[in-house]
Amino acid sequence: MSQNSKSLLARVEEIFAASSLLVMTILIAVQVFSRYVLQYSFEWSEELARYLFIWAVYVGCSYATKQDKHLEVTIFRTIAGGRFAKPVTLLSYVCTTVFCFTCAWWGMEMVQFLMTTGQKTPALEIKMYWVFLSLPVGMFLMGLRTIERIIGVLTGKIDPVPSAEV
Amino acid sequence: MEFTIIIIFASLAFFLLLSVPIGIAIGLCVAVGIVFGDILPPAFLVQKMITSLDVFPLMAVPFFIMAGEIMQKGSMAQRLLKVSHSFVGHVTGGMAHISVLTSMFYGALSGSSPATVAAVGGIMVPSMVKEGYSRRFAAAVNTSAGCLGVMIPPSVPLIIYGTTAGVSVGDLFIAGVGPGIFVGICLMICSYVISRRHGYGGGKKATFIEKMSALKEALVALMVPLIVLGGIYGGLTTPTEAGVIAVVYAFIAEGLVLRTLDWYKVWDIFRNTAITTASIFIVVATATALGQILLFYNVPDMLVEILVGISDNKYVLIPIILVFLLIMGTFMDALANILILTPLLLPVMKHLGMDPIHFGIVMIVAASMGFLTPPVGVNLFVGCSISNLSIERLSVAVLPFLFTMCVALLAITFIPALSLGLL
Repeated sequence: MSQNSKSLLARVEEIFAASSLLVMTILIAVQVFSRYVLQYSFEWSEELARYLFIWAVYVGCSYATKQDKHLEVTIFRTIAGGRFAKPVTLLSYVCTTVFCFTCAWWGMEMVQFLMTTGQKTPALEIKMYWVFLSLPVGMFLMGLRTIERIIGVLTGKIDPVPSAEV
Repeated sequence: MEFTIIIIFASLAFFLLLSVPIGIAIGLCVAVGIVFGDILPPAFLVQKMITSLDVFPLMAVPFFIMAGEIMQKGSMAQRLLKVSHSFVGHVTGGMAHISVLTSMFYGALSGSSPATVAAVGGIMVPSMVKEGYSRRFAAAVNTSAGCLGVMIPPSVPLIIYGTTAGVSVGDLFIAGVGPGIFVGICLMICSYVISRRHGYGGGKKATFIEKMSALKEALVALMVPLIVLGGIYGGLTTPTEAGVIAVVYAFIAEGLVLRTLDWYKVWDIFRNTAITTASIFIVVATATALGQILLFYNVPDMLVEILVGISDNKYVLIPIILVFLLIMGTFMDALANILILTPLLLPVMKHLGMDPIHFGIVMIVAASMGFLTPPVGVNLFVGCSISNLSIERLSVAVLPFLFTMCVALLAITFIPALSLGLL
């Protein structure tokens, strides 16, 4: 682990995604307990847990990029080996970046649209765009992390040949 | 219209081969379809990527991953090993049977196949080599037995299948028990035959008291499947609730009773769960969107027509579909396969009179065999790293087990009672 990755800013996705999962687990655990033991159920806890889950997924995507833990089909990179590994990896990163930023752009359009309609969630009655905001935010961060990897490969800090670990 | 579909599939193949992350590759091909097809708005993709995750049953996945992470950090695998040792250790090729039986137990705790290989194989491969088993055989048994991790519930692929096909995840879990045990027994028979040929003996037979004390020690771990399946089978809990109960139980058992956890490990558990969850659900999100697009262009209907045009006899058509599933499984990730192929193949299977729950089990068994074949075989990767064998050598060594599983798959496909009997 490099020095700057220990700073809080570099770990923002990790802290956010893991904490969201923690809160989600507590919410559902409390809900199960209250439903079976206290015979009382909250309407909002399940909804909040679902939205935290969605946020955890998209912000987690950026974290997974940073840790290089996304599921990939690496046949070509492995077979082509040494000489092609670098250009193939770079090209795949460029495609990833394009998707992330396109998705962030389309996501923001959706968020803006939802802001104008003012749609609210059923149980919590918070504005719906807070849920949809997870996609552009997560994808934007993931795009940045991918660019970080592109620079890493170009400067030789990251080895483009995939390791076999899962 | 047809042109757009071709563009979609061609771009999907291109991006996948380029080793773009699977979820992103699928998303890109959907985006290409939106731009080229010019029928659906960009909002379609955004909407699907959010709503496809806004499903309560899917939240069982992070919970079971979390429970698996907790137990991997703890000592449950060792405890289960002792139980298997006392029950099957004395049979010819005893260590191999211990591996399979422990993987079955572990499969009932964990919803992931590579995690099962790592947890059980990580301990068993070195000790089998120490006992004089060949490294290839030891690695092959454990790599194959890892497949039981996804067949025996809880199972991440089964949850994903359930939400994609719109059938009850609870029913799928119950249906998975029989075939999981069946495949386990088949793998044991296969290792028995190989062990006889190589002259691997068995250990000392355990006494009744030894068996009981091993069971007592592993009680903490064996309670998990009891709680999860018992709750679901009794209709008390949904799979998601059972998942969170498993998490809380595992935290209490490992943290407070066995004291194998510290705060640093707890944070690690949430961190790893966050990574695994994200890497799975980006695939779920975009693959659901792709499935919807294909539905929009009537691809499933076209596929039914083509396949039924070949033959209307299920004994002809189903083997063709099985072979297709196995081929897809060799070079595509299991989850992506389930997400993309379920909407396409389910109408065909329904036409042939196959129950969607039964088809789910067939699909999971076929998909798990893909874990054992290169180029994309997650179990192989884990098996290689714990045994120091090359992918080439290990993938040859697993062939007898792969063949056994093919036979088991045929049996599971054509004997529906194996899956549906418990329902």
